[in-house]
Amino acid sequence: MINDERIRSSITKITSQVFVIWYVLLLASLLYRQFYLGQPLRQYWDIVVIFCIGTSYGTISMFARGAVYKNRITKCAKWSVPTLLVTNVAVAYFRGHIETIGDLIASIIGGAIGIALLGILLFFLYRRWERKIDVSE
Amino acid sequence: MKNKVSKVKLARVESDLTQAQLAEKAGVTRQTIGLIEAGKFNPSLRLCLAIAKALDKTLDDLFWIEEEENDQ
Repeated sequence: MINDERIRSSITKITSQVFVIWYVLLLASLLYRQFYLGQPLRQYWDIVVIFCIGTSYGTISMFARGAVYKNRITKCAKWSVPTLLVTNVAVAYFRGHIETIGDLIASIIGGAIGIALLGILLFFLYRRWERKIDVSE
Repeated sequence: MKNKVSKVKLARVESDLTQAQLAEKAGVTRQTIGLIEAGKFNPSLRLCLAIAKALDKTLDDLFWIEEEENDQ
């Protein structure tokens, strides 16, 4: 049976493009519902869950299979971590969850802990992949 | 790139094989062989080896890029 690598490669490219289209549209749909329609989360939690599952699977898989540029990730973290923290606080503020200084500090600490846990998980997955293929320095 | 493709085509013609026959030996479709010969598809090392074996040539004979070609 013919197993043509060109066809396999084309299918992979097309499916990844389809994934990107769906992913962007899903994100646009979430933003539209959240910020334009002002719907509460309980009205579209199913889309959020699907989006989170897809994002988590993609991110975890990339780190677990070493499909990341280590140097770029380090550089990227320098601006993405503060951006995530600020975004987290801004979203909490606009949703009316921040009324006191204590709420603000809790939001920052909560965001920082979340990002740190995510970073540790991704670092652990990447190190595990390095040890598996034995290319660690 | 074009020269590399020509080498595959030349070797195939020398071996008196059609694209379809070479494709069958290498385990791919005829279109893929056509694209490799036209320089529009970069085959994997596994496929390069299969093609070289089918044409009874070495990888150097079929896919080595000369200095002058590289500069162009």
